Amino acid sequence: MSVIDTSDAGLAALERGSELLGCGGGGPTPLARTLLRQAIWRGQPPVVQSLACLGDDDPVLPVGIVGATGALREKLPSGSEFVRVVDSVTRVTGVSPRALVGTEVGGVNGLMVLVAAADTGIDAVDADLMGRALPRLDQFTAAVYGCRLTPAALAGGTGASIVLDDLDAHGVERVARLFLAESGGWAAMACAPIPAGVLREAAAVGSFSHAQWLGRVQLDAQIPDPAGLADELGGRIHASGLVEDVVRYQGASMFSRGVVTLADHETQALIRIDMENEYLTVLRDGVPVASTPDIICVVERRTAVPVPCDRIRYGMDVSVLHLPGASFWRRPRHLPAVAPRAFGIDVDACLMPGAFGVAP
Amino acid sequence: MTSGTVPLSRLIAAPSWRDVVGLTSVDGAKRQVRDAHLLADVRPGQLTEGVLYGLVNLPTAFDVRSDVLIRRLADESAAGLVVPAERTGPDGSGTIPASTIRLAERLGVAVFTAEDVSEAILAARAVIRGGDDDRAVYVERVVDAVTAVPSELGELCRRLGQALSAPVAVFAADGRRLAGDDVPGVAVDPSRPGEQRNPTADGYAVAVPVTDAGAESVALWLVAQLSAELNDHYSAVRTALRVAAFGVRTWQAERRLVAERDARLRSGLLAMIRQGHDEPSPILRRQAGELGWRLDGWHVGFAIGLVDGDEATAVLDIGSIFAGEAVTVEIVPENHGWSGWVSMDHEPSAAELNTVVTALRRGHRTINRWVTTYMGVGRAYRGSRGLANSLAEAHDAAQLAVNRKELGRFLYIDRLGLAQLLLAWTRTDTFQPAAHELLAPLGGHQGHLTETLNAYLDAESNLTETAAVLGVHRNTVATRIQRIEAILGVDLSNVDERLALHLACRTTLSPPSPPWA
Repeated sequence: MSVIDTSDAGLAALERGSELLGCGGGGPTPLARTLLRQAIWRGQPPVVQSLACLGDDDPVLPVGIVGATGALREKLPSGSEFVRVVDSVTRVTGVSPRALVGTEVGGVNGLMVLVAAADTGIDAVDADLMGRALPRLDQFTAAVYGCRLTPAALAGGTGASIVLDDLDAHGVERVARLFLAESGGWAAMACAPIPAGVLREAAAVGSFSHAQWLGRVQLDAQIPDPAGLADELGGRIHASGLVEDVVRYQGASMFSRGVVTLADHETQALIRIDMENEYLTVLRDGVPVASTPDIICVVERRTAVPVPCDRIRYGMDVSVLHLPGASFWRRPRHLPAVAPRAFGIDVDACLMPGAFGVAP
Repeated sequence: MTSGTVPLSRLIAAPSWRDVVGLTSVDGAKRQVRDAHLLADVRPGQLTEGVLYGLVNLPTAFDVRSDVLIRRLADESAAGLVVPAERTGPDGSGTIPASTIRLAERLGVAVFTAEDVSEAILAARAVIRGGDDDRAVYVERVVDAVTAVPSELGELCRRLGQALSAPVAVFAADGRRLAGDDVPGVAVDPSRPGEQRNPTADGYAVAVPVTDAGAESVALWLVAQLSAELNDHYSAVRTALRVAAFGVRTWQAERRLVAERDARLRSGLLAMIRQGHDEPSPILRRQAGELGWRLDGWHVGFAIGLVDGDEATAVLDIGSIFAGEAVTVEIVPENHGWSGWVSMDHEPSAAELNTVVTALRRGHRTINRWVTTYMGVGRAYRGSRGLANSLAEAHDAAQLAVNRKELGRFLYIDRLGLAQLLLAWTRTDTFQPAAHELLAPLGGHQGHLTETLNAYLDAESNLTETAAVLGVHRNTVATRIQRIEAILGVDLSNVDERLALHLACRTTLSPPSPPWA
């Protein structure tokens, strides 16, 4: 019994929810949805189990896509990548996975873990390792919690694959980036299995059902109004107005950065949104009002459709939507890994009350 | 205003803040500054109301801390922020993004850039704590401006204006503007002695008199226009203007000295030329060369005399008047006029001469607009000797031109008869006293004897015609002639005596002789 509705409407809701949790990043979802529908038509519907249904020792294998997820459309997956990485890790560790856990619920990976479940025939669990979208592998909840990611396997669209071992999370991140250049820009990845009992502490639990709920609320709304949406989702609108400026620049990190400026059309307050692959912080008249790891979405004001970081441009009429993040990151020990300073932004984390998932 | 605070506008207008650039449009008049401090870090500890802060190290361009700092400055009602002037590095460091400026604008935080932030903050402190710093800066700049000897008054005004960051003009003693920017309203009231402060359209005009060297009278007025912002600088500007006035006086004296020395050199040299040696001495040649005079070639001399007064010689720039007529002349000021000449490479043709003479005539007419003069022009001669000749002819012609009002008091020697030249000769120092002495006895008697004698001789000793000219009876003329012969003891039938008396009459009945005769 799957906790995720895999009907057309259910997948559309999950897709929209993943886009929202992508915080402007995470990659475009349409291709993943097509792959998923195809799998369902083939008679391989993915099953998503509640993590509570697993025994404490049941090994759960983290899987997902790493790299430039936009490149998926240019170099299409063959369908064997997830099977190969799961097999590689199984072979190296000698442990057969009882279930798969998505690495990232935000963006394309919010659907790809279901594709992986369909491809491998292994159930997925209703949890992920980010609770949103984040740019780096060392920002996996499991890595922050203290789990080893290796042995890990990567298989790219070019057919090449590698197995990484005896690396810490930062090492995995660095080597994986090197491999991506060889593999066509993206790769399917599987990490070392994590016992379900540990995973209950070391993951954003319930993230897929949360994503589907988010999407459903939005899609079911008669009038797609961001303010009403924010109320229903337990979030907040920080501003609505026209984008007045988008500046992109190369910062200190490997990803390019950007600053979006908009003026709230009601109060004329100046909103500054700093972004990398995702929207990271929101300043209202110079005062931080929202930051990672909470969910910061920029949505079109009239349709509430999320606007990705790489698509936002001058003149768009948008709303800045702030949703509570995963409870995992609320723990003081975990927060620094994804707080603004982890992205080189020297402000304190600015989180809203409430969080999804198991209470910390 | 509480003591120890100044409006931000005062700081912006301060000369020591001239190179500090405002990035935001904030009404500085309403913002009070009580102190200025440097910030060591973009995330400062405590901020204080009314303090202007300087941030020496700007974070990288899009550092969100800049925005946070702006907000904190706004929350604490700080006076403003000074950041280093933009120097864009390859990573965009050192620039202030438009969004941050926009935020400052919205929150009303005044943001400035300065090449040297610490210096700007120190200068701000000096302004806040007292005006003496301004005074020193103004005076220093004014001294620079007047030391570098400007060539004319307009240039001097421009430099002083730059030094004082305000329009500066020079007014004559009677209150008319001579040079510099126009001042709307009454800038100077010449009837009041001493320094003045007069309201103008948008502020005040500060007027400081420039006195004559050694004398108490006012020669010029120096006027600086202070806008409302610079009003606080009144005292400092006045001090600076006093220094400037002293500088102008020195400058004037120097100019006068140079002009006089130059005039003396010229007239000395001209005197040597007039001595008329065929071959100029090496000294003469060298000195003429230094003045740009050429002694070879062909010269057309001219002389201009003033009918009355000689003040104009110091004022009128004769050279430029003729330059306006497209003729290049050398000018030497003399006691009651000028001598001058036109030099040419080759012997001028009749047409060329005509062009030169026409130009000189037009120039003369222009001069006569200001002051009544008479002018004579000599013929073209060659070499330094020729120059002397031409000048001599010109002087003779000028002498004849005095009374030729119908010719515009202008005579060119080619158009004159020899008789007129002869007449010119009679006006020499030796002949004139003799002529007066000769006719002096007639002065003590009734009956217009001198005029009668002159008319009689003019009429070729014809009594009837003389009577017609004078409008008296023939017998009256006859009686008078007999009395004249008796008084002077002459015989008018004697040709020689008749000629001498005729010349004497012409001389005594003519106006006073020109100075060079």
